Amino acid sequence: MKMRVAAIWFLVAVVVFVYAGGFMARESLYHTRDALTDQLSLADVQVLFTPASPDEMPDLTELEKEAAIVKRLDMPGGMELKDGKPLACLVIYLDPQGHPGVNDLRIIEGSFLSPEDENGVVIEKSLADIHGYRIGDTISLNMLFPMDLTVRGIAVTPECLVTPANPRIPVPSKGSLGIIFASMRQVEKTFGYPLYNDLAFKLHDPGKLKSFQAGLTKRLPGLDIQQIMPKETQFGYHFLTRDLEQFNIVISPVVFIFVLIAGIVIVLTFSRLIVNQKKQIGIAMALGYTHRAILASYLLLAVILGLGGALLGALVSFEVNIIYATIYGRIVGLPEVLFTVTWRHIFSGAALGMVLALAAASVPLKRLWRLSPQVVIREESETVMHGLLKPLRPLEIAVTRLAGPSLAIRIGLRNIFRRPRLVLATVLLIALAISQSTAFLVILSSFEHQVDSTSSQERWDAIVGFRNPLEIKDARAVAEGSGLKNYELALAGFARLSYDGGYTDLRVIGLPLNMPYRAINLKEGRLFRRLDEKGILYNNSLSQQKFKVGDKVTIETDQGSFALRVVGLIEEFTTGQIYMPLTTAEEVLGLKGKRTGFLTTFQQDPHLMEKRFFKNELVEHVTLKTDIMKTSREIIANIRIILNISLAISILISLMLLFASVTVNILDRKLEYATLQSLGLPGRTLIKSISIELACEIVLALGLSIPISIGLASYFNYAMSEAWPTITTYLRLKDFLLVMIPAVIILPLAAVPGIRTLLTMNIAECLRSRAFG
Amino acid sequence: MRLTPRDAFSRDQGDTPVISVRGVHKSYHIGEVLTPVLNGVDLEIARGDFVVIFGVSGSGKTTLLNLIGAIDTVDQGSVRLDGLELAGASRSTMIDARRFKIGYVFQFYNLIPTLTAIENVEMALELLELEQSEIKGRSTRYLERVGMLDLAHKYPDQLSGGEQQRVAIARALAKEPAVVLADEPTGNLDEHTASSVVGLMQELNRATGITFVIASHNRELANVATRVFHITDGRLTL
Repeated sequence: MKMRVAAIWFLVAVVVFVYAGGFMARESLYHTRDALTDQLSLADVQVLFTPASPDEMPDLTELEKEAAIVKRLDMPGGMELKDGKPLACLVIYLDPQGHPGVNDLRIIEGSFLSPEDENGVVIEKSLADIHGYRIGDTISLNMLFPMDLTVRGIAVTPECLVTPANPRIPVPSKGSLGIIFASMRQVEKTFGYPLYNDLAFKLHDPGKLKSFQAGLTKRLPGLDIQQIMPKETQFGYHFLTRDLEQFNIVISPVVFIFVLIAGIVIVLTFSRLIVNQKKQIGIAMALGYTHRAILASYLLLAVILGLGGALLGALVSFEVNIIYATIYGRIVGLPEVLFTVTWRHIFSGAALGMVLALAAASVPLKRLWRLSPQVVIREESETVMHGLLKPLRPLEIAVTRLAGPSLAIRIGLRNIFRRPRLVLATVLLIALAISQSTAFLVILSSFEHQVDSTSSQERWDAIVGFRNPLEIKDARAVAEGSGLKNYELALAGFARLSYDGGYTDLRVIGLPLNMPYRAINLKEGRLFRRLDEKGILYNNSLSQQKFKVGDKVTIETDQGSFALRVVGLIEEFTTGQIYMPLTTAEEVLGLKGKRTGFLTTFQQDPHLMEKRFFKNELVEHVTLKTDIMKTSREIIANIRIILNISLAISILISLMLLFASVTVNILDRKLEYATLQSLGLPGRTLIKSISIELACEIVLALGLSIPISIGLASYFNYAMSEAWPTITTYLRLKDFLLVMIPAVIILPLAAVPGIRTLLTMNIAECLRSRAFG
Repeated sequence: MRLTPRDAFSRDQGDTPVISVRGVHKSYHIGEVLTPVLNGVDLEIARGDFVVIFGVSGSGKTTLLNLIGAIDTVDQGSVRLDGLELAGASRSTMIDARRFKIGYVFQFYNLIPTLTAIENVEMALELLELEQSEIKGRSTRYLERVGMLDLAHKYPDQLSGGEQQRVAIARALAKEPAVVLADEPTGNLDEHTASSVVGLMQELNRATGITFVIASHNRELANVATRVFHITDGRLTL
């Protein structure tokens, strides 16, 4: 009884700490985003415009009454990494007099810019973390002209709370864009005066943002405004929010799996507890206690266990919160995680645990109410199923006959057939414990397999991007100049997709009708029929804005607004891009007769080819197929980390469940084993019969765990398909064996304490305690 | 030294008592207190006797039976069962004694709930390493003897208290032990059923010559017993 009570208490705690801890981790991550962007004064709105000198800038006095304003110059460029590879970068020129009041920098190493040090720069921390830059290192920039700058500081910026990625390359991997903060003195030195193309506003009264933003164009006369960016569309904030949404999407089914398993086990365990106390219940009924009074006593037990479990779970939930949030935060690139406690999740989790405990208590009691006290007292818990035992008899006889003369085997097998309820409960408990962990492994494998197989479907070996769009003949010359015969010229650019309620900036890729190198995974609709068709292919998964086939969209570029229609929905792991027919893309991007790169296949070593491509000055970036795999893995790294943490928790829970269920199962029948020992059953026969019984239960449980694992994994993948490309459940023998083999080793060990108790117990005392079992 | 089945079924046919208890002391820890239960018990029981030991609850009747039945061990003294010294005996000797020399009838029957009546009897016989035909034969024979053959395929929860006790008696007797120990065999039965069980045990004692030692409150047993003992404050008196 004590062990069962402890198991229920522990399981209620599991429900609470997984529920509360998981969802508190989500809140902590969102809180971190909000707190850091607040602390570092992320701009509420940013205005990007064609560079203007101080004379060309409008008077900002009135605007300064409503918002803190910082003027900057943002310049795209390139730099050479320590290994010689090029890296796209964005250089942000700031007033070096002091920290900016908007989009501030938190210096984590070194110092801020200095007016006396024109060539000193501050780098965003991913240049240090991923590319190894340190204080004092030299950065070779390629801007309007080459220049060498010295790293004076490493900083965290609210614009890059996630590791920045270069949106211009086909598969933007983390760290593929360097962010550098330089002194405006350099610009002044070059042009004689500062230049600005970026105004960052932080409102004194955030409540007035909408009206403020709406009136900005009028209040900034003379500026050639390219873009007005509210905070939500700012690169770092947008992608961080997307990463947090991924956490939100994943954590819900993870919590559900834990709660489901724990819930079933609570019901089973409480059921066994009450079944084992049938005689007491029957006697209480015979003495005149009402059903209500008896029910109340068990419900009280459920409440106490629920409260106790809730308390333990609440305490552990803080740790679970820290684990999930810290590890996930590190993966997405947050500089730190600021934890928060959401009491509503703790109370909801506690309430859920208590409801499970109460429901678990009610289920077996409901059956007993229909019986008279005498039947309840007399009825043996296992042999109530006489009707069920009859059909099993021929099978039992056949199997027992196969077992031969061994008494131990006959006893063990007989117990399997004669205790269907107990065996079923034990098998189910073990199966649930195993399948909980296996499911997470299957989910991980499914994700990895899907990403790998999707990536491997691409038929190119490299995608080469030019610094600037080239005429078709020049583009061909670049490709053929590298010795290539097989290539397809490519066209890509950027556009804004507008819809009711907002817009998204996306990469536009022009598609030919014949695509020897690309693999488009069409989910719904069709591909393009003509090169000038006014249609797009859109990826709903991983996109905030969802469309249906046939929906009209507006694409805006500096060429104007274009009305297009969604002709097909696709699935891919790359986000932020749409496809158009090639001729339409030329028109939309204003690149008629031009190309921005090419796709190619080759037999040579990819890294040698990469070096060859870079020898041509017109080449800006090269994406190898192996990079795709790496980047795709990065995309699922977020999910993998949540699953790995969940797997670790599930293994711990599984171990405890396995030990508890096997030990309790053995000790439940202490009286029976005492009787057998009083008849002269030797210890070795006892051990052997228990081992046989356990072996049968293990085999049955392993078999049952397979469909349960597959079911749980399929549910998870289905739940993820709301916001991810469809993940097909992928089964690997290795995933099952990784859990089953340790379980097969651990389970017999789990029987050792129980067997030791049976062999050393005082038979006389045990037999004396017959009255209440 | 392990008993072989041959040893088990050999009986000392002489005048040697089947049970000999000398200067036995036994105490139990009840909580933190060490409570003496038997304080120097001496007892000799001859083969074929029908012995009843009376005593109030807590007097030590069950403890004495447990010591004779090799279910418990003495703190001090000697217990000889059919020539076998149990005091200080190894675990395997105790197991063999229970297996071959003793049949035990419990107050609460202690039938295995997942076995039918006949299977409960067979279970005891399987421990004796007998041939299957012998097992089947004996279990049928003894169930018939206790009047339970018609209910041989019923499970314990389908039987009345008296019926269960008859099956328990059959289980004890089928082993053809040297001694049948019965601890309050009628304690859970109504008067009429108790009477029939007592009569059954007496009849079996006469028919088989197996020694019966019964611990009980039931005064009716005093009328049929060949010897009656009283146990008071851990000591045995006639």
